[in-house]
Amino acid sequence: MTREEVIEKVNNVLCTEFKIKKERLVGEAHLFNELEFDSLDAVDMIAHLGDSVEMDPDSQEFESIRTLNDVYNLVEKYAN
Amino acid sequence: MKNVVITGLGVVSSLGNSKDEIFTSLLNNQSGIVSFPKWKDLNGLFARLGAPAKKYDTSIIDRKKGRTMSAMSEMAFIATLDALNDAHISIGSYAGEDHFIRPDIDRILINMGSTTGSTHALDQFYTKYVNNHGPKGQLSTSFFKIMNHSVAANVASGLNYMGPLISSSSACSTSLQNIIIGTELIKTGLYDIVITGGADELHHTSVAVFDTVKAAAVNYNDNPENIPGPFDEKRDGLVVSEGAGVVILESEEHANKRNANIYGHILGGAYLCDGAHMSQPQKDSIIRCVRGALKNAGIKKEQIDYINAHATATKMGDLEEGKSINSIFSDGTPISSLKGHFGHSLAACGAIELIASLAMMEKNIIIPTRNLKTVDPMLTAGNYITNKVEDNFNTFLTNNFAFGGMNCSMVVSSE
Repeated sequence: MTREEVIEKVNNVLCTEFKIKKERLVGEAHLFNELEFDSLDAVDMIAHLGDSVEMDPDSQEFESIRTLNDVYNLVEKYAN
Repeated sequence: MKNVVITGLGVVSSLGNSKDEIFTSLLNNQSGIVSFPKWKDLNGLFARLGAPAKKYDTSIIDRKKGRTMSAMSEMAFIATLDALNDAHISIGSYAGEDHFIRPDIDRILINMGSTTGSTHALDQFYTKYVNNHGPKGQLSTSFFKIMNHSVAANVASGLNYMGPLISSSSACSTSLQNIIIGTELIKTGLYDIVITGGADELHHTSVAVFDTVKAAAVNYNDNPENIPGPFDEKRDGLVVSEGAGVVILESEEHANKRNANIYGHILGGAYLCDGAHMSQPQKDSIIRCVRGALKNAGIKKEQIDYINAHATATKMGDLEEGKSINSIFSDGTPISSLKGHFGHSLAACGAIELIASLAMMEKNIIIPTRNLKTVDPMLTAGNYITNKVEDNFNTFLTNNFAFGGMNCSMVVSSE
């Protein structure tokens, strides 16, 4: 999966499931400070992404997610 | 002891989402019951009928509040907002309009329940659990839809309400029992206002519960319009519906002080368990409950102008309730059930039928049981009306019963 495909997949989940406007979805955006995410949203984001990408992040990986770029990197790692 | 009045109504149902809308639907003899042909694919399910709620607007629900709400919580939240608007009360973050009052939060109780947690969420959770051989991929928000107090907790969360909260549940008698309990708590002076009711959502697993115990309608799957109504000799079972009913109860003193609109006075009620059988209604227990409600209301049976029966169109339930009513009341008191119109909305039905009965009392029109053509010959007495009755009508008794031997009866008066 190319980086562009990963970005499109993640952004689609964030738009559809979390009602975040597309223009706010930039790589540096902080999930918790800027996109109003909380821990429940983070778990559910991984679950939704897991429906199309086989991924099984451990606690350390999960807790290290801060920005959208972190999410893109995580998905990219498991998708390829 | 304080007197208790009803000052706000909120409803989402198969026949409409306001008191006036459901009354118009009832007056026009409409039914919310439709066919679900796809249920034929469910192994062992014979029933294919349900009564879904009319479309309701969830766009007013904030994303973070809505993510833990299943349909039953959404409906309960919307019905609660409507009831608060109707009563001109603001609580939590809900401001309402400028003239709304903001009561002392320690003098308000919210008590709402459902039969179980969300049936849709349960289905999704366990389907994924089985398919993935474990919890992999589960949404963190699923549990908050499944937990038993999901409806009450989500309504409180939606309102940012920080006061006393209870979630009591007794399946199909949930909302009526909650209303009686709320009445008792106001009577004793513990609260000024109780926001209460119940909600349930339509899912084939709920239908399967009744289908399994041979209590669901199965012979009119392709002809829902003509399904025989409660008390009819040809009735073959109930149809599951969904919705939410919420009422604002208030001490008469508190309501009068703020010149609130009063829909009715709750004179008293009773909730008694038969302790005999989980599914078979017991005539003697129902009689005890109805007599208890009359006693607690402090009125005589002759003062009841109308009986809103629980009757769901099951063979045994309608018979036991009918015989109980007939053994207490004179032949003349009009009796009807609204399940032929609405279907059976389980935990919500008590509040929804109360709201419908209040609308009938306001208009002095008693709605007959839909599709009651020939009264079951086993019911040898009783005025089971088949046409609307237009007459002065000031006091009614409403019944709801549930699996587990739960019986509830309540008396409401216009003054």
